[in-house]
Amino acid sequence: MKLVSHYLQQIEGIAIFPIISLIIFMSVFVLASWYALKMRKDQVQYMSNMPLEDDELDHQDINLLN
Amino acid sequence: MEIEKFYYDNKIVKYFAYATILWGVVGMLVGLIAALQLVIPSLSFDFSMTTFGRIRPLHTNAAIFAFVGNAIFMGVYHSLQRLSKARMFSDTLSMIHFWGWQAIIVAAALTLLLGYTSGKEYAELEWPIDIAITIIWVVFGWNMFETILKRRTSHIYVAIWFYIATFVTVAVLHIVNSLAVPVGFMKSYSLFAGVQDALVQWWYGHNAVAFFLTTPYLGLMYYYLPKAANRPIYSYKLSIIHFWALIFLYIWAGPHHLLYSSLPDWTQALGVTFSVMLIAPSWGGMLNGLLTLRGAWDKVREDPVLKFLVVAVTAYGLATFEGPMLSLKSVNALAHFTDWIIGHVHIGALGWNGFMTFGIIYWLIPKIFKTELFSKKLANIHFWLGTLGILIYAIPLYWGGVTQALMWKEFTPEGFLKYPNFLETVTQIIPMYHARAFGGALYLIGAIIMVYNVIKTVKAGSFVANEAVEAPARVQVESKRQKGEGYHRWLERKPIQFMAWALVAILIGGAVEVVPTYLIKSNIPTIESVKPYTPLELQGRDIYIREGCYVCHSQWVRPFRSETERYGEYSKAGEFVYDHPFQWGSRRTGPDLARIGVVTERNYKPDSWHYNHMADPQSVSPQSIMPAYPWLISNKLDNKTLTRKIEVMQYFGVPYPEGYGDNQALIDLEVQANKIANNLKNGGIETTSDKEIIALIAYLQRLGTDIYKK
Repeated sequence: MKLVSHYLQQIEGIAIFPIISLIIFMSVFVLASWYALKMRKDQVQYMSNMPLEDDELDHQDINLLN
Repeated sequence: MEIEKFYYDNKIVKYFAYATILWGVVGMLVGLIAALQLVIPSLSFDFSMTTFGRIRPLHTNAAIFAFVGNAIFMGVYHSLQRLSKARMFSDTLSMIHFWGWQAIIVAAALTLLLGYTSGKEYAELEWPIDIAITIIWVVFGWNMFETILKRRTSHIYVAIWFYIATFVTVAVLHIVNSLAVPVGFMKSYSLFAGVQDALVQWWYGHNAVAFFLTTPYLGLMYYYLPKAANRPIYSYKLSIIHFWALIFLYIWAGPHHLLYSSLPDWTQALGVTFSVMLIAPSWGGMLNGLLTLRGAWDKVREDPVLKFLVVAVTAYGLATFEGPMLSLKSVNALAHFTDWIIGHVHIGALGWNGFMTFGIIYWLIPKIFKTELFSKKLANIHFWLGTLGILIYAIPLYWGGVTQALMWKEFTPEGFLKYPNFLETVTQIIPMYHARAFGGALYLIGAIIMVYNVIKTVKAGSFVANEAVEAPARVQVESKRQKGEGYHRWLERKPIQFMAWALVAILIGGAVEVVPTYLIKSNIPTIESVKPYTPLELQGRDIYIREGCYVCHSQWVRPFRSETERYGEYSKAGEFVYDHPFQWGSRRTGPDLARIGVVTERNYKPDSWHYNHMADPQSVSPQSIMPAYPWLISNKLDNKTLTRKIEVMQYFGVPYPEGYGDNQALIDLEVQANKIANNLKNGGIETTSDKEIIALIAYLQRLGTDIYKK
């Protein structure tokens, strides 16, 4: 562990990490929003209807294990 | 198009549902016992396994990992099959997962009561169980991913994104926070020490809330709320932003548990910033849930399932508004260490997790048993008992928390603490503890009514173990991105790549916060006079951990006048460099102990006081609510692993002399023990130097003293 930490301690300007992180977050956020807003209507409808599709066959029970 | 016939596995869903109900009742019952122990200390029964310090971790672990854990698996195994239009990949893996998880729960319950604990909140389980958890978690992930891969739908619904993020993040959190070196079977020392351990622990602790109690439940919300209301989610677009913003922000918020501690300032600032930003995605999710019901509120009046889900989502909104507020430094200065936090987490646990689980159970059990719920009326009674229970639980704790914090901070016009005796601030809020226990009891009664309702429903129905389904086979699309296919659209059909990006999102936050604190020396200024614990103190510290003292006592004085007056000099980062694990605690049911050993401070007590206090706290402070620890008086100190303990500490870099553990450690231990035994003799107490209490006294008397040494 010491071997690794020794070199990482040499990183100059590690204090800039928090700022980088904010920038990364903002870009992820903007990208996700951009993607969501320009999503095609049929795709949105398809996705949001996924939980509501039921293809169960009259609730019949066929025991596979026996 | 080719239509395929296949079967959903309902058996595993039923198993997890039963386990959820069983462990839910057990976890709540243990919580009620803990609540009553705070009012009637004799309910600890002067017996090691039933003291508050062991009961409380049992309660939190049972509620989080047994109740909520099984509920997650119940919901995932049920909804994943339906959203993927596929049976679970392997029935064998499902069963290994189920029985493995239950075995872990039983092992956890036994070992926590027996005092085997790592001393880190919500991660108390010792290393063999930690390894078992890792293996079973991988089994779960493997089964889940194979199912997603063989799905018949083209894309992956948002609920499954949340399941994927849950799987990968919990894996990372669990492994990093559990890194430890064993000193024996069921005993280990954390790889991290002091401030670093604190940061890793609360990075874990907060994200256990985020990725065990929140993201999987959001996944469940995105499936079961549309299902129960029979209408699609309000905004699918919002759910996409909700997902990415939430997982990205949550991972940073951990340091808000350590405000005004000796954690570097920049880390605290980051924690606060991201915590405040979390309101946005959290409320986005809540509104998305509630707005799904627009135009269907008449259904809510009729249907107990929707009632439970609506209150659950509302509680989520409340808790996620309160959380960011509590993370503001000025609010945190007041609320931290008080019962306000306990109230806050129970809005989440009882409201969000509990009610969501109950709603799903009431919806799901009749479905897989092909019948109607036995009694809507009983479900409604459960709903009202639960809702009242939550309110009667939380409001008194808010009241008590604020009252106690204000009392801690109040000064007389002359500039002295108005309530210098900590106990005064405890007795003041005892009525609130009565109310809280009553609220908890109502909630538990509601859950027991549910058990009856479920049993009756199950008896009336006939279980469908394998549910026949027909769906078209998936149109095989090339793995590569298609022409005109957006990147995210592509990602939505590639679960492994999706997981990789989720992993990247959560690793960035963890790495930026944790890594520099661990690696940059200037973040933890060392103090020359801070020396390693003596062997006897180290043994005493392990007893302190074993008995769960950190559950009620903090070891961290914040830089406020009200605290330095009461406890002494505020805590410095350099004081904890040999603390594997750290023991800062999070709640002051009793006073802070960071400077308990400093002779010149207000709280200092002689050896004989500690001895009598541990044997019978009420004989020393009649109104004390601390349990008695008579076994410490009679148990002999076990020094068998001392050599190994010293070696492990040396491995961590704790500067004991070379070969110290071989002989010299034990000799030094006996010399110090004899000294304390003599001290006690002078105080009129007859004991021998080989008792556990001697080691514990040695540890307490050492606490906080190093910075006063020349």
